[in-house]
Amino acid sequence: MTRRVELLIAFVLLLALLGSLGIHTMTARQALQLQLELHNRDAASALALSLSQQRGDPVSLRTVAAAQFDLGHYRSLRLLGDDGRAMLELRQQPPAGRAPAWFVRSLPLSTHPGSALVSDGWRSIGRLEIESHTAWAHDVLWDACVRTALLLTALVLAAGGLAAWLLRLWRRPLLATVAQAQALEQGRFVEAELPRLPELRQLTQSMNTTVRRLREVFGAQAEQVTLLQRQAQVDPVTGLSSRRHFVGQLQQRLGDAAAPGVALILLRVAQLEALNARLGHEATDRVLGAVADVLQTYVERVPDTLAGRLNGSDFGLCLPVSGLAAETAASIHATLAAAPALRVAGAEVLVGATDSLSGVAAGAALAEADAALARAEAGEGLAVDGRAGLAADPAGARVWRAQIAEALAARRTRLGEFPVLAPDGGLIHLECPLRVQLEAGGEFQPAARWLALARRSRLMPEVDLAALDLALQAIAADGRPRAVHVSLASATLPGFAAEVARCLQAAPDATRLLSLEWADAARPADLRALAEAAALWHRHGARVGAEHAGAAAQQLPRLQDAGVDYVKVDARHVRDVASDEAVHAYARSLVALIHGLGLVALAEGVEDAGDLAALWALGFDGATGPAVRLPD
Amino acid sequence: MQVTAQRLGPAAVAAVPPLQALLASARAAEDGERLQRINRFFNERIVFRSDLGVWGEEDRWASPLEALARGEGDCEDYAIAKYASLLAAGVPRRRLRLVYVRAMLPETGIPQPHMVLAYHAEVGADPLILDNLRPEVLPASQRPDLTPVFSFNDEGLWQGTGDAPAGDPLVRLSRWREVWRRTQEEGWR
Repeated sequence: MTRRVELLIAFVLLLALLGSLGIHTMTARQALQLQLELHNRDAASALALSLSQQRGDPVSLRTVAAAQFDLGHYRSLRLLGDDGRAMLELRQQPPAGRAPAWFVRSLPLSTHPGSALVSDGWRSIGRLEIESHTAWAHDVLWDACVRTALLLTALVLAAGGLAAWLLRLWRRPLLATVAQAQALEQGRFVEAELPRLPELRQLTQSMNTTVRRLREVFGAQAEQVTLLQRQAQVDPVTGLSSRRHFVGQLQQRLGDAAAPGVALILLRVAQLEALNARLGHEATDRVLGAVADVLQTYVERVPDTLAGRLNGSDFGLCLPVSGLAAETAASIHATLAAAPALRVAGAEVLVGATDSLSGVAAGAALAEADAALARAEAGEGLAVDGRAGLAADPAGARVWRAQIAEALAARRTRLGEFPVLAPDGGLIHLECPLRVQLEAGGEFQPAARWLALARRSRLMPEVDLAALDLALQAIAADGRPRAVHVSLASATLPGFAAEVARCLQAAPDATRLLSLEWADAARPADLRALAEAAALWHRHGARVGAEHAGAAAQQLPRLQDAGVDYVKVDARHVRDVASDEAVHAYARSLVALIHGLGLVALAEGVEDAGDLAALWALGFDGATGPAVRLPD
Repeated sequence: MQVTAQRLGPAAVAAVPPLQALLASARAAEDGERLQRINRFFNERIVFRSDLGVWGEEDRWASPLEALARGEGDCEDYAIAKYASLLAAGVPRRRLRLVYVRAMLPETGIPQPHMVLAYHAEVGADPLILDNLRPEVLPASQRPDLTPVFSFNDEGLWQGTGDAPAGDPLVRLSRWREVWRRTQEEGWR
C-alpha cells in the first residue's frame, strides 16, 4: 500500500516540477520575445530618423548605419529602396551563446524586424529594416530555466523528503496494527504501543481494547474450566480428590512403569454412621476435615503424592515411592490418634497400607490395601502389607537394560496400531506405540513392561528413534498417517531434535503423514526446547501433538506456545462423559478452549459407544480407544 | 463607424453621413480630386486648437471620429484624419506619408514642430502637401515655410502582429500605434 502511495507522491511531484518549469519557461520566452520586438522597432525608428538627416548622401547613410550596427546587438540591417532593391545590407553571425544548441532549437524566439521609412527632405529614400540577434535573449532564458529547475528540484526534493518522513511515521503503527491482527488470528494477545498520529492512535486503541477483552474472556473461560475440573475431581467436604479422580490417578501411577513403585495407604473412620448419629452432621464433618488436613500435609510436602476421599468413611493416600508405607502409615495413625478433633469426638481411624505396587491394576492395588485395612480393623488399627516390586531389584534392572538394548540393536521391534478416527469415520492417524521383543523369539512386550527401565537406563532416544524409523517405513509402505510418541526425556536432550529432523529429511513424503507427540506434563523449562523441536519438525512437514492433556485447563495455552497442532485429551477427562454431568461440562469446556486456541481436539481411551456419541456431540475432532474401530 | 459615433456623441453622429458621402464620391474620383475634397472637408470641420486645450493633456492624438466629435484638433489630428480618409477612398498606402516638419508660422515667424500629410504621385516626384496652416493643397516646392524632418506611414506597422488584435500589448506601446488601432476600430478599412 505504502509503495503505491510513494509512487503516487513521486509522480505528482514530478508533474508539478515539469509543469512549473514549462509554464515559467513559456512566460519568460513570451516576455523576451516582446522585448526583442520592441527593441527592433525602436532601433529602426531611431536609425531611420538619423538616416533621414543625411540628405541622401550614400556615404553618410552607410557610415551612420554601420556605426549603429557595429555598436549595437543586431543580426541584420537592410535599407530597401522604393523599388524594392537593397541599397544597404549588413549582416552579422550572432556570437555563440551559453545556451546549448538543442535548447535554442526547441525554444525559438521568433521576432519580426522593425521597420521605418527613410527620406531626404520630401523625397523618399526607402525602408529600413533592423533585426536584433536573439543569442543574449536565449542566454537569459537558459539561465532562468536552469536556475528555476535547480530551485524547483530542491523544493521537490524537500517536499518528497517530508512526504517520505510522514509516510514512515504512518507506516510503523500501521505495520504494528497488522502484526497485532495477525497475532490475534494465531490466538496470541499482543498489545501495540500507541502511535502519536491521532487517527491511528484511535485504531490502535480499539485494537488494544479488543485484545484485552478477548484475553479476559479467555481467562474467564479457563477459570470456569478449572472450577468445573475441581467440581468433577474434588470432594466437596474435605477438598481432597474424589474417588474417581483418585482411582484414575492411581491407575496412571501404577501403569507408569517409570515410577519405582508406589505405596498405597487406606484410612477408615471407624463407625462413621454411628458417629454421625451421635454427634451430628457438623461434628462429623470436622472429623473428616481433620483426617483430610493430615493427608494434605503429605500432598504438600512430597511431590506427586495423591490424597483422596474414596467414600463416606474411607480415605486413600498414594506415595510416589516404595519402602515408606509402613513408616508413613504408623506416623499417620499416631498423628490422628492424637488429633484433638478426633479425640473430642471419640473417633478412631483405622490405617491399612501396602507397599511397592507396580504394574498392577488400581482395583487390585486397592483390594490389597483394603485387605490390610481389614486386618487393621480386626487388630490394632494399623496393618502394613509388604511386597517386592520389579524395579526394586537392582540386579534385575541391569539384566533388563541389556535385554532392551540388545532388542533395539537387533531390531526386534514392531509398532502397535490404534486408529484415531474423525466423527465421519475417516482415519486421522494410527497411534503407534513401540513393542519390543525382549527375548529373541518371545512375545512383543508393550511399553508398560520395559519403558520405565528404558527411561532410567537413558535408552529413550534409541527407543524413540526406533519407533520413528518403523513409522516412516510403515507410512512409505501403505500411505496411512501415523503418530509416534516422543518422550520428554529425549525431546529435551540436546541434538535429539536435529537427529529426528535428519530422519524426516530422508523421507520427505512419509514425513507429511507423520505426527510426533509428547505427553502434556512438560515443565515450563522444557517448553522452550519442545517449541524449538516442534518448529524444526514443522519445517520438514511433520505435525506435532500433545497427549494425555487436559489436567490443567489454565495451562492449555502454553501448548500452543510450544507449537502443537492437536491436543489429545486424557481418558480420565472423557470417561463417563455421557453419564456424568460434571465430566460432560468439563469436556465441553476443554473442547471450547482447545478450539479457541485454534487447535484440534482429540479424545483418548474412549471405551464406551455412548461416551463416543457424546464426544462427537461436544465437537471433538477425533477419538481413539477400545470403542473406536476402523471399519473393515 | 455609426456605432462608434453614437458612443462619441451627437456631433460625431451628425458628422458620419456627410463623411460617408464624401468617401463614396472620393472613391469614384481621381487622386487629385480626392485630395482636394478630403483636405477641404477636414479643414472646414475641425478648428485648429492645441491639444492642451482640447483634451486637457499634452499632445493627445485623436482618431478621425474623435476629432470630428470635438470639432477641433491639433495638426496631427488633421493629418491622421486625412490619411485615414484617403486610404479609405482608395489612395495606395505607399503614396501617402505623415511628415514631421519644422514650420515657420506665417503670423509670428517663429519656427514650430508641425505635422502634415504628403502625397507622392510617383517615386522622386515633388509631393503635394495637405496642411491645416494653408487650407489649399500645394506642392512641397511652394511651401518654403516647411522643412521636412521625418516621415512615416502605417506600412509594415502590423508586420508580425497579423490583424492587430486589441489584446496585443505591442499595439498599445506608441502613440501612433495606439491612435491607428482606434482608427481601425472605427471602421476606416
